[in-house]
Amino acid sequence: MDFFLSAIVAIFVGGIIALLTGKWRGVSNFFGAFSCFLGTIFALKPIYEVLIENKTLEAITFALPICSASVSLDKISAFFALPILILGFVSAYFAAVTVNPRNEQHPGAYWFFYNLLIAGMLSLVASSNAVLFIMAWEIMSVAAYFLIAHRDEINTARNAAWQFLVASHIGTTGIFFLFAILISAAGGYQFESFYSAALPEGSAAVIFFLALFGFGVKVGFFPLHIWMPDSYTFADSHVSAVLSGAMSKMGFYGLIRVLTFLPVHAETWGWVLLFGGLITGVYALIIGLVKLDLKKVISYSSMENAGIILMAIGTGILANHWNQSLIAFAAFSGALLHIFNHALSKGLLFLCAGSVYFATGTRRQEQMGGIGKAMPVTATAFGIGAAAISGLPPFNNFVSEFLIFMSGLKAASLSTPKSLLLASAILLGLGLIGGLAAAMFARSFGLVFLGSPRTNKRLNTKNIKTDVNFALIILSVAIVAASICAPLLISPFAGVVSEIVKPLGITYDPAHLATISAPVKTISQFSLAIILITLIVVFIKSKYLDKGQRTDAPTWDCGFLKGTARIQYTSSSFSEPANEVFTSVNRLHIRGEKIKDLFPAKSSFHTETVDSAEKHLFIPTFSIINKFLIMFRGFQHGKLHLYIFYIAVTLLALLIWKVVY
Amino acid sequence: MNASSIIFIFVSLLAGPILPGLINKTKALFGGRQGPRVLQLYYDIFKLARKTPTYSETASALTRIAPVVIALSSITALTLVPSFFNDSVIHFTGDIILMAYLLGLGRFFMVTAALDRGSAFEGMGASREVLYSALAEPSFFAGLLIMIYETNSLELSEIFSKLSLNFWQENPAILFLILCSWFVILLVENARIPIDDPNTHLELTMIHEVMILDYSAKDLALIEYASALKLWIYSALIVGMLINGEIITNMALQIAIFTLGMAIVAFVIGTIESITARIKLVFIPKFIVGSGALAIIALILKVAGN
Repeated sequence: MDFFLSAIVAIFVGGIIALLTGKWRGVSNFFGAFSCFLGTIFALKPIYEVLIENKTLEAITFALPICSASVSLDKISAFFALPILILGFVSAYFAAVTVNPRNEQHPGAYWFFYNLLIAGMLSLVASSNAVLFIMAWEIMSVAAYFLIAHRDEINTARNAAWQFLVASHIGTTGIFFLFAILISAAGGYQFESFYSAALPEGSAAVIFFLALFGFGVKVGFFPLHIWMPDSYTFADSHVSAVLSGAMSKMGFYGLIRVLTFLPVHAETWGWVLLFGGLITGVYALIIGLVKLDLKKVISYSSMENAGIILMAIGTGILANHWNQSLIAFAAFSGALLHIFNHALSKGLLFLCAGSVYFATGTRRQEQMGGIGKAMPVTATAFGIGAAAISGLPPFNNFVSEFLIFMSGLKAASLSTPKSLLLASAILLGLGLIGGLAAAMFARSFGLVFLGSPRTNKRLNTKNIKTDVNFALIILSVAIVAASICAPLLISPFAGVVSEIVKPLGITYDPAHLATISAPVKTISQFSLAIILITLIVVFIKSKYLDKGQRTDAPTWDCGFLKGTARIQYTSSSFSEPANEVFTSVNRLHIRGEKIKDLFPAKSSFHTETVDSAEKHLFIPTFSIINKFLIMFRGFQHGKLHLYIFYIAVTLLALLIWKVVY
Repeated sequence: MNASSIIFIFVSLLAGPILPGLINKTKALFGGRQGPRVLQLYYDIFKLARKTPTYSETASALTRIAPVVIALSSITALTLVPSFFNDSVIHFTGDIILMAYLLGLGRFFMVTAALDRGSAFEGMGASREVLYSALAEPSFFAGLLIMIYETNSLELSEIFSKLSLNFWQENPAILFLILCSWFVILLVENARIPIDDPNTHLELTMIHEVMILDYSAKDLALIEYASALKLWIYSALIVGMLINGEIITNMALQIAIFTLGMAIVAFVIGTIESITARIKLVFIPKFIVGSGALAIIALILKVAGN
């Protein structure tokens, strides 16, 4: 545990040194990134001990103003520390080679908040005390806010940051309330006391739904996701990678942690998570499929994957309820593995998007194209990430989705109407989600990296940063490794699963691990075979078979002969058929004049999609709240003496209340 | 893994390109023509394989890699198909999921490689292909769900061997609905009429053909071969679903019945292609979702029947 705490301290102190040395380019970068690296090295030892060696680390207790708090590292915490460390380190490297303090408005502050975010998340998973948990949660959210707001000279980025802050705090109220209920029932602030807390009738459900609300904001549970696409888009790419790959996973950590406090999980919760996750996933894809901004597409995919993970957790709860331990085990293992896999692939995709942004200065897919030839490493990495996140073999996300599919298949063989409903939700839902995700990422990959450049001005080869390739290669290799070594990953994760269900009094049969490992082993062999055979055949083909007199010719253009890059399919034309099908959900806005006469004048055409949840749910709700609150505007007038008077009146009122009662 | 499954793989790899030939023969029969030879696709593939490919100037390495991956995805998926109503070469819990996603991998490469040439047309096919296959996925799994529900097994070969003739005789409605929905998936995934016309000459209306416009020689041979194998896989699934291998123990008889079954599937596809016109592109999503609805109705019938 000492090592874990030193990791947190090292990262935090590194951030402070970077803040102080902000003026010197290089020094600040070095301390910021190196401390993340050092912290990762420190933290790996306790995580290895907990996850692989099954050791229990001794908790460290210290005093807080209202109670004594302790930090400890159990299996769940250690598991959730993994994405933080991997992405924290890789993104820090990415930032170190791309962030130039000379061009930054607030040199040093960047690193300070970055390191604070990583340290905050690490303290969050380590804290086993409600007060400490909420403190770490706030540190994390505020650090994330400052990172998103870093580009506050851009109007949209400032708005996105505000939206994030408001959403995040609305979510935090839920977390406050749920811990308040737990603390009052348990009579203590420590997590251990929550396990034995005598919860009043019905409060378990209240706690669960508060947790779903509070943590659902972080993971992007429909319709609480509306802050997500903008924040991820307008933050710098390495920040988006950490936000999406690690910070949103803290929402799952919180949800799972709170589930362990509740002695019984109701069946309803499982259904809510299952269908809520399904709606989240499908909705995210329908909106993401028409988005034109590369990072927005990747952001919506975060939401989609959150949906898949929620579905898996819901399945686990339902199966536990039905005493189907194998299904529950497969579902929970799938959920955990998917959290891990998604962190890798989503981190990779965001970093690729960042690399593209440096080279082109835009995120608009319509203005890109053909970037792959100038940036082969980025293109390959994005291709791997895109195939992985679409859940295609031979990459890692397929393995985790397979485990979730497997729980659905097993549920189908139970032959009860309820289990059949569960199975249809998983099989049909995941099938649709997988297909649409492949569509979405084939579109982004193809339109950004393949074909020929749509505008000549955009790509500036001088701005390509080849240093970042190292970060992209690390994550690509990690994705392939996580796919081929999936059977090795499952057994430590199985330990985490048993820790999750331990408070329910459920222990899974150790044979289940072998049952779900067997197909996973075959799949990894398939993956390895596909990768190797492809490499060998492509090598032979390019070396020997494709030789000979070859004449390259222009792309077939139907005899047009004057093909330019502008005749290429664009991202809005690519999503047009899908748009037609899902128009009732995504409500495409079309603006522009119709061409009328035989000799048409100059005309324009513009389409735009807004998130329906934002437009039809949040904007109306908040405007009603605003109308109500505007009545109290008079109290805020900027006159200091009157403010002091308010305080005096409040104190007097409290005094009277105290005396009377 | 047994002798039968090994033989099956070799037979499938060799006989895959016969199916399109049989379909074309059927179409010629309906049209009163002599038509191309049944083995025409073999001649085409051999002719193409001898040639040196020409690549588009816009194409990147992906165009060169994609045909290999597409062919490999079909071949690896084939190893999971039950052989002559017996075990497949490799079978495990949930193998059909891997099979569906392996074909998905091939599709992903087909689609992205289509965008690689920067063409005005290939993107058109790509955008249609991804949508239609995404919509077809749920109905494929819905059909599967009924069979798992009935047989209580999670391996494809086990499911097929347990689907007794009795079950279909007792539930003709379910059989009919699943058959319709899976057949539509076969037509969608293999770009047949009424979804897509393999013989069309107008780029604007193509789906599958338009994505491979810029392939030539060895690459085109690989892709044509992979497409034929894919058709073989889907046909084998439909034949395997209908006929129970456990009743027929004689292997020679199994092979004969399987061959007959495949020929009938090809004949039915050819008949459909001859007597229907392709539907308008805007109606295709409705058509696919409708076929999914059939499978879901079958599912409800099954649950209500118990």
